[in-house]
Amino acid sequence: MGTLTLFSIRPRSAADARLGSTVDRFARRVEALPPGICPVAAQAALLRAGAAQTCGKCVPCRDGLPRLAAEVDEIVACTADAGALERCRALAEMIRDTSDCAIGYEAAAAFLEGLDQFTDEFSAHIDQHRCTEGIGQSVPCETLCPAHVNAPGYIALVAEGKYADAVNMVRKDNPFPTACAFVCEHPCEERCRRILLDAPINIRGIKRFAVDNAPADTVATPPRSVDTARTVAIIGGGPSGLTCAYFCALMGHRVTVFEARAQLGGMMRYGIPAYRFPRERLDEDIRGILEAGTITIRCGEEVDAVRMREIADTYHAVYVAIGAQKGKTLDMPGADAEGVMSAVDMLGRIGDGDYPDFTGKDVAVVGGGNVAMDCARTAVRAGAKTVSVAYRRRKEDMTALPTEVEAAIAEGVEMMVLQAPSSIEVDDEGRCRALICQPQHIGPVKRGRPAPVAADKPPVRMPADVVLIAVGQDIDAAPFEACGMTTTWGRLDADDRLHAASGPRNVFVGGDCQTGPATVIKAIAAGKVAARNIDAFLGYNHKVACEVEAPAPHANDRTPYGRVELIERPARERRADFEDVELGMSLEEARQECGRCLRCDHFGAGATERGRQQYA
Amino acid sequence: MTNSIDDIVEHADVIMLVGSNPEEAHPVIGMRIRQAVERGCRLIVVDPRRIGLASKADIHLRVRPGTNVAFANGMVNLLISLGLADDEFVRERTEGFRIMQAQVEEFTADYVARTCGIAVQDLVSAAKMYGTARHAAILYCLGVTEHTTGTDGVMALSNIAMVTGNLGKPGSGMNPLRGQNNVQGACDMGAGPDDYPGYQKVWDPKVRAKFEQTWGVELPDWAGTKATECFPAMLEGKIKGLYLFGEDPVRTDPDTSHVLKSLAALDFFVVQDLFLTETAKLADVVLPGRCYAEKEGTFTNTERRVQRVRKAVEGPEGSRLDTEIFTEVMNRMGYVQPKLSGAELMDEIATLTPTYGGISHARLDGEAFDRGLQWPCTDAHHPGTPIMHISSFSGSVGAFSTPDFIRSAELPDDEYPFVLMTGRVLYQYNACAMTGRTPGTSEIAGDSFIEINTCDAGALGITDGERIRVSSRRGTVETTARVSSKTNPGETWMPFHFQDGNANWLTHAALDRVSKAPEYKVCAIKIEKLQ
Amino acid sequence: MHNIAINGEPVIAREGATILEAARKVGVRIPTLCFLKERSGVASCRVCVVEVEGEPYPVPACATPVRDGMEITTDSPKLAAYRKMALELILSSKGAALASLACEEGAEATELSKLCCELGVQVPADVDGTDALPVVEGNPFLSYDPNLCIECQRCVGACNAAARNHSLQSRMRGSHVLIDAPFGADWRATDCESCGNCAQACPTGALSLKSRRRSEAPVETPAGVQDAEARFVRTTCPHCGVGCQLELEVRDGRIVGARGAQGASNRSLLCVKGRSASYDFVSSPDRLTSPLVRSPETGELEPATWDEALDVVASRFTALRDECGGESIAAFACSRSTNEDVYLFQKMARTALRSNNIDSCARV
Repeated sequence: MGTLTLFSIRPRSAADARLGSTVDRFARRVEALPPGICPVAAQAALLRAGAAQTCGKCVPCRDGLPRLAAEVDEIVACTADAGALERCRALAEMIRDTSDCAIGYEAAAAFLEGLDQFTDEFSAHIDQHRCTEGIGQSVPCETLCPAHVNAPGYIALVAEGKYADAVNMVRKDNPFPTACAFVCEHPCEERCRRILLDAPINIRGIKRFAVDNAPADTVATPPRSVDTARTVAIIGGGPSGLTCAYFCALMGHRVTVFEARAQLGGMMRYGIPAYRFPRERLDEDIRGILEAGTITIRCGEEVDAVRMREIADTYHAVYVAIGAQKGKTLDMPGADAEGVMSAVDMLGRIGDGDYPDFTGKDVAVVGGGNVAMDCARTAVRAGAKTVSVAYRRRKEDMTALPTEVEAAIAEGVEMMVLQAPSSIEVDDEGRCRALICQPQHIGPVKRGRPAPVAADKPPVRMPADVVLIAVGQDIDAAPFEACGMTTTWGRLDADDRLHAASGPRNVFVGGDCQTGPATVIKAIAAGKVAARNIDAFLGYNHKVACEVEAPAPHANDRTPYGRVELIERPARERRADFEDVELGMSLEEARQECGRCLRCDHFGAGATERGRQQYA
Repeated sequence: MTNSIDDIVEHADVIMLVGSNPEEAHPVIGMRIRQAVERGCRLIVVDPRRIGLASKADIHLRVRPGTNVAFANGMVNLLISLGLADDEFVRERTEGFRIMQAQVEEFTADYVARTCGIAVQDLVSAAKMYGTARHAAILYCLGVTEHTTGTDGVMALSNIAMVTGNLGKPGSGMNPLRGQNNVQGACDMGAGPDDYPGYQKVWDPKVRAKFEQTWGVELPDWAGTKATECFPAMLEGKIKGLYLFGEDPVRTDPDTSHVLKSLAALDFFVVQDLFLTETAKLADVVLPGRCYAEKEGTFTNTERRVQRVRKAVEGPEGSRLDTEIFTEVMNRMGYVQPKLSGAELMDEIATLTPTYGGISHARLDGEAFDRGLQWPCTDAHHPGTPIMHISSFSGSVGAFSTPDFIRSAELPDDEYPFVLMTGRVLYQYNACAMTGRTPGTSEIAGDSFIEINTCDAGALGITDGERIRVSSRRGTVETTARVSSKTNPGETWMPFHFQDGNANWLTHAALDRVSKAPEYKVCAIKIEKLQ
Repeated sequence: MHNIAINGEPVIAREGATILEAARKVGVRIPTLCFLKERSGVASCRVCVVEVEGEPYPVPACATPVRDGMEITTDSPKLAAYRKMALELILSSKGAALASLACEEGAEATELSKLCCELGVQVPADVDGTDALPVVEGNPFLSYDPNLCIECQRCVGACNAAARNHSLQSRMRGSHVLIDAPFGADWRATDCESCGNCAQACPTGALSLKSRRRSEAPVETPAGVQDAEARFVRTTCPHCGVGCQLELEVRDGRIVGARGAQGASNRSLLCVKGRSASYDFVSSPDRLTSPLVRSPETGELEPATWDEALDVVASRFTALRDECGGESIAAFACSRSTNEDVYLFQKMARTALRSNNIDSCARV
């Protein structure tokens, strides 16, 4: 006290140093927020967390936040009166507008945003004294997988060494266990309950261990139903079309797949490079699918408007899953120069074995998504002297998976971030010489992420003999529009059940051509949904056989472990070939990783009536 | 005070606090010194005791009681030899520097350190700290004045301020913290044997003529006797009648038995007070007066700031306004006077007292409501004087004085081996006539005690809280021991507020030769266990 | 100097001045609660929020410095609503005792009560807290009732920034912040000087002088005196030489309290003696109420009339003066009395007693 206080290196609060693990746990609990939780309850929890952080100085934060949290608790409990929402809004606005520091005003701002975002949810609590339909917890991995694959089930099977059963457990919802073992973005891992203890289970890695030990084409598919003599046409032999074909065939329908390209697989063959997903492994899945029943493949048959009309008239049902095949272009000077090409075009040619030779060339890739990384890493393997990625935002803003970005960097790709391409320098012979970029600086957050604005810096010249444009894909919907099907933002319209919004009444639409470019697992999920609804449309209610059961669970192992990550081959080695870059788990690794699974299908909400999300 | 409290709190770079414990005796100044220290002002405490502010001081010089002159002369010598004197100020504004310099030369740092019982290093540090500051203020109190060499102590301290030019500018000066609320005013008003109001000398015929003309009566021309010297005069029969207005010398004056004997020798003794005090019990007539909350008037604080006292309540029935009583006495003694209000009296004061010439109740109730008026305030438009001696010392130059170091009148010896100092505590005021009537003050501080150093107590086998006997050549009291390192070995300290074990039975009525202030701060005592 | 506008009126404000200071200077009222000049400016209550053109959210006037060209709005429906809400939150932060302050009126009402009246804030309906926290009251003068505490930090400022005693602190434990008032059972072991500047700073009476509580008990009032409400009389403290300005609170002809006023030497501060021991003695039952004259028969002091007593005084001093001369009489004045008293006393001594043996207790 007074003026003679001596300095000390001891922290003022001895607890601060020890608080680290509490903070870490707090963060993990937030990260593991279970899907299906009531958004109002989540808001209340956020407010309580805010109130717990108040220093106690200012009235709005110190007295206002607990007060607001108490009111919201009443709403959560469905005991609030009709005026509660307005009171909460007024109080939250007062807290947001008059708090002294961010602890107070951000808590209120977050609540106000939630109030607008979840208007229906708040009203339901007050008017109907309940949550809206669909609110309720279920198994996180299974729920967040678009195809709702029974992850705890196959993990338990892998743990017991039943790899073939595991493959069929995946196939119950997804006929591409191998594709998903290699390239799935694994949304199932996002809220894995294991985060509460250490880190999410490496679900994709376990699946890869399963298909490495029991290749899909060696595992018999489940028995199909009796023939229905109904015909289903599938336009597009990609993940969505083939999934629909698989399930329709299992249900006993007669399926014909029309594929414009020479081979099946869609973007899995013509978009994803072989070093990420070796072609022979893709073929294992496709062979497995074709085993399922009566599936006729008609490759190299492009469906135009006339053909589409014919098909719709001929078949009992049609599933349009043509994907998004057309590369977007950039409208800038020199974009038509020799050496400038679309990413999808290049990757498409590679799919049929036509590898480019970039030996000694400078290659520039424009874009920041997974396709851009695929192009860049392919260019490295094609012998390019230098490969640069030009992206107008920051590295952390790239939509590509962080592991993809890191892998590209490891292979020698230069990330030129905050560079907006403005023109392409062309030589006298019309060949591309360089990519000219306008440097950007990162500015205010717009729609959730920081937006770049032109920086007060001179343009940058990146020498480039080849410029690969990877800024997104469009859908070639013209033939279908000609048949009376409508589009929005270039995407074919369909309802939630994937029934086409207009045009012939027996047509269903799904996958990238309906959602815009997305992930393989979303396309698969659409195919599964389409198959089920086509079955219903045809007047059936088939239940697809599975014949595999999840083993009984062991008690949770609560010991925190590290997460087993799949490692990659050394960059200097892998950059010279198109072989698989990733190495699978060892048996020991797989066992440890499977052992971490908390079996949410059995423990917690998974054991309750509405605790699972499955179709079978 | 030459400067004002605000001025020092806001502007001083160094405060040297000598013989003063403001946290207890002037608590609000204590708070304000803490404000200054927390602002970054350096603090040098010169006090034998480890007072509260010592813990906030940069340097605490625990000088032996009674060695202030040696300390101050040593400081001046060091300031000169370190080249920290303000040559221009000395040349332009002062006289007698050479003689003073010669006088202090023998006060070497070694000699002073030995005499005062402090470290040479600390003394040099203090001189450097005070001497290099742009604005250095000296604050002092009864620890300087209540000695037989009190006046010398003040003069010696003044030399420190003068030699460094720390006078007549902000954040500096010589600043006595006056003890009682209106001790400054009482002196200003002519309650002194030599002075009419405003320190106009009674021996000056021109002055006397002015007062005789205004008051319409012939005035005595002989020099009067100071209060402390009156007591011996009573015993000698020279003084036979005493009119005592609101004092309690039986409790507050040194050597109580001597005081009692003196009062008993009087022919006629009048006390005018609020309560039947220990002294009033001895009077022939007791007249009940009124307190500050029952009258209109003014107090002059330690900053020379005249501020209003306003009537809040009626006095108790049976008591009368003091001015009314004086008027009655004058009338009955044949000097016929009208009854005047407080405001009218201040107007009369203003006409007779140049330094109060511009002060009136009307001004203090109006434009000067918050700030009061600091004298000199010579006419109705004069704003008052927050800092004195800005361009000159009352129209002339400042004279260095040459005080020599003389030891206290009574030093400890084999029979009475301890030095006793006396003083005040936070929760009481003087004889507790006012504070003692608030429940709570006595709960916190209601009984007499004596502070003894731990080593001394150990040697005597005395423990903290033990009742002990304390004696001097003049008397004996019983009190409670407070054992700590607050006082140095060989030194003790007692408050004089408490009637149980009142320190003034012990104190020595030796007087300063000029001011006639008693040496409350040094006398010799012995301490004994009770059984 | 900055040119600003307050409610559309051009105002010239000192550089570095807060919006509140600039507004007060031109007489524009901005309600405040936690702000206390030279004591506390932590901007915690948010009652003084104002709108500034171009700022998306209101700012606290007490803690926001003016900028050149600033356009300030001190009142609007939104601001009124926010201020009301802040007060309602404060009132409902404890139990019924705090909430009920909203309906108190009159001169003795707390500052919080007065602010509630001004801003039209009622007693909140749904106060669910209890008044269960124990009152801290070991100190003889001061007590702390946490059930009335709104944690505005004014007392903390008074103790730390003004009295610089550093014995009273806020615990700053989030929503459960409380004041560590050093008035508990161990109060003697603290550095607290019982000065009560914290209590003077308190806007709710949570920190209060015990004497103020005692005075609520009925007291005998002098006949014929009846103050409808408390009066405050500005005067100067009667104890030491600092000359602190104080206001005596007078009710029903009795002084019931004292508070610090903005004097030049004390800047609203008082010590324990000025605040708590400057008035009880005035109405002490042992005040003298009659002159006393020593009876020649009994040798005791006995009550006498004023005429009798004054005649004795005049005749005895006259006799001494005339027989032995003025030199035989001494007159000691009181250093605690007023200038006017002392002046007249020494005048009496010199004119009537014909003596220069006049002195005060300046030396003791």
